[in-house]
Amino acid sequence: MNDARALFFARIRILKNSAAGIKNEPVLKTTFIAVLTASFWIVSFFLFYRGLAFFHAIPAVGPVLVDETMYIFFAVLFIMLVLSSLVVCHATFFNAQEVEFLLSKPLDHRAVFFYRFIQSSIYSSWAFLFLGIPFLVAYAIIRNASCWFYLALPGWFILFVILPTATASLLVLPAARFLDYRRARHVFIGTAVVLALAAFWYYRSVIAPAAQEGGDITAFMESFLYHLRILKHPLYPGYWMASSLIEATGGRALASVRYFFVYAATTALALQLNHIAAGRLYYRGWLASRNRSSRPLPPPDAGAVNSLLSIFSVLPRPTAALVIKDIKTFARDFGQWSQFLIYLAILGVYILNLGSVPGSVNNPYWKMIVTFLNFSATSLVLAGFTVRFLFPQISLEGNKIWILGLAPLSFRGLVLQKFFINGIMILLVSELLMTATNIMLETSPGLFFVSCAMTALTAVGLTGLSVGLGALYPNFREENMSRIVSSFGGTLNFITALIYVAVIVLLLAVPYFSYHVHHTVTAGTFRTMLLAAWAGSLAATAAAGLFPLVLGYRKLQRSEF
Amino acid sequence: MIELQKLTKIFGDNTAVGSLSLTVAAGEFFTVLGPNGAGKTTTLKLVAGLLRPTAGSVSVGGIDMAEKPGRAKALMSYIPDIPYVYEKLTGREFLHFTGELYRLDRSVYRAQSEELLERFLMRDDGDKLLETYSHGMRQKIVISSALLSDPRLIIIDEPMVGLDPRSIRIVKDLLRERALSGTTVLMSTHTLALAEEISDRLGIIHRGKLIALGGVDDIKQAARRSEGLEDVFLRMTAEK
Repeated sequence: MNDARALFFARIRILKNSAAGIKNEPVLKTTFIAVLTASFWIVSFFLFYRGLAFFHAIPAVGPVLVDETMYIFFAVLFIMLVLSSLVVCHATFFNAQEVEFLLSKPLDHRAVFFYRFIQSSIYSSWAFLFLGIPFLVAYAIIRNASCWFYLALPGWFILFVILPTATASLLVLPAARFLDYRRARHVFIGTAVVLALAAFWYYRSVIAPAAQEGGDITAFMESFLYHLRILKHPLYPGYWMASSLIEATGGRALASVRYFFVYAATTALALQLNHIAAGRLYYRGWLASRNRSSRPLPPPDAGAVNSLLSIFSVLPRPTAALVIKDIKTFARDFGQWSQFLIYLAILGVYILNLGSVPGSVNNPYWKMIVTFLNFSATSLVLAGFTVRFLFPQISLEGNKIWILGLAPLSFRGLVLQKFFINGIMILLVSELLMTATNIMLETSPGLFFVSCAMTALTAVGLTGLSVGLGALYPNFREENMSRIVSSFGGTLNFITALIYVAVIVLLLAVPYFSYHVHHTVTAGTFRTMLLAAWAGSLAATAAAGLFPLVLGYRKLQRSEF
Repeated sequence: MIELQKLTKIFGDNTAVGSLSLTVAAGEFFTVLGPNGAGKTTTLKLVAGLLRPTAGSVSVGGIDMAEKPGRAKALMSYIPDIPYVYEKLTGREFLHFTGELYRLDRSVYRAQSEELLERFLMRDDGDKLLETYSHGMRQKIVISSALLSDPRLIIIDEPMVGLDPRSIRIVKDLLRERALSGTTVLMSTHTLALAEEISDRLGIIHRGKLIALGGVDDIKQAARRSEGLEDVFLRMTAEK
């Protein structure tokens, strides 16, 4: 207990010292951050509120649909947090240099474990804080929750994020102890493939046939939600948390407390199991993770992978060298590619879900809604992807930045290399995704073209934003990607990316809904509005993408190493 | 080859290097000595262009570092005290990466990579990931990568930390060979015996100031002592 106290005391001192450093920051900068965060929450709240209000207003099924949204939100969130925690726990428990220092001291290993456990919880769930709060507040207002609900919200939030981390660490601890570092990679991929196949089977045999049954979107949604009843399984933790919140907003305090205690008791049990597992497995697992295989790899000029990478020889030599180095580092870093795999899985699930939306929806209102939801979702997935993978790229050069600092290579070239190479890949993936989903949704040719063009613009903006802010706020001391992303710069990137996506979607949605759905403007006004929307989108892309890029490489050029 | 004019570097209210002026000739082996925190690494980083001077100037091969950093850096290689490298590359991949970054002739850098790996007795480890290397092995890879571009100036900070006796001998021989062939070496070390053995000239830095400059004998003479360099160094840098 004393060991744990000493570790947390040291951490609190570190936080205090870091907080003291904020006093030295320019007032303009801190004000800007505060305003940006507040704006983000307000905009997100507004969007969630409008979305939930829209569902709530649907006759007969509205309130049920809103509650179903809560079940889906917590069900998906719980899975996402477990997956995210799997990667974060592995990096936080076993790969950090601080662990080596701590385990060299006469400390109780369980104290070190729980110290890192709390850090894992924070790193894996920080995004939930940003998106979860406006969503839950919007839900509470729609459902006329009492003031007690808002007061109790932080308690729900803290409790909710612990169980996914505890579940993930119960998987990570034995894996690190008993699986070889390199074999673990194959087990992880194998598990992901099995899960993906299981999800695909569930979709093909249960959800897809249901989608064929009716052409009406309301009937489809009811059918769709019915088939997602697995997410409301009484033994599923996401269901308990959603039920606790739903019961609380409905004024049923006793039922709410009951679900809350079921979740809390399960969390306590998971923590107790972690306590036992950490005592037996943590230190041994850490020792096992040190025994990395030293199996030689093919020489740089041999092997299939190197032959494949030689396609980059069309680029200038230093650029090609950097690209190949980045690809090899990515492919050999468990933390990076496992997160990438999770993103691919999300994309897969998303596309599968789109496949179950009836293509025969002819109502222009629903058609427009689904098309714009698709464009928003694709852009949000891209935003998450760029924040997670592109923002840390400059920081991941880390303490090796001196190598590039000394090379006859400008930082402008380095930043542009990251921008162009990643930008091309993001552009290809996003266009592929948008084209495929538009075909599945049978989008009209005009909207097909506009959404693809807008996606291209968004891909450029989001890439520039993440690479630029990554260069503007690098953290060369950190090697854990999750920690880099959860830094100030990463959070700023996350917020600005979401605001940027919201601006682009709104700019495009206003003329289309005004003309095609609400019929409040003439064809001439529609064209003018569309032109203005394009101009606004270009301006927003330049501001979000190019401005941080220029600031970023200027900052790097001024940096000292 | 190196010309420092009233070079000053201030971090906050700490003057790490204070108005340092120094000239190092081409082909000279110059060693910087000094206690911990004296400003040795800061001086080396200023020469390498990894830090910007608060005042004064750095010129390498007649090129002003502030005006044309790219051209100045093309003449030099820097070997830091801590060998940070790309952990997920193999030793051989790291050397090839450096060769490509500097646009060196491919056949030349590949042959030189093999020669250096052979010389450092690391040929069998060349295709293993750098994350599996010991500190000394990483240091040898960084030294090898610095020598690949055949620089006119080698800046090396604490070269022998973590190296075994055989590797120390190899590094000493390599640096001496390069100096004899006209390469300038600017080295910082705490190992006084090494400095005494290998250097043409020494400079002792204390609290950011150059307090002694010359050959080993010149410094001993200036200190009016007949004892070894260690005693002279301790006396000169003693805190009052």
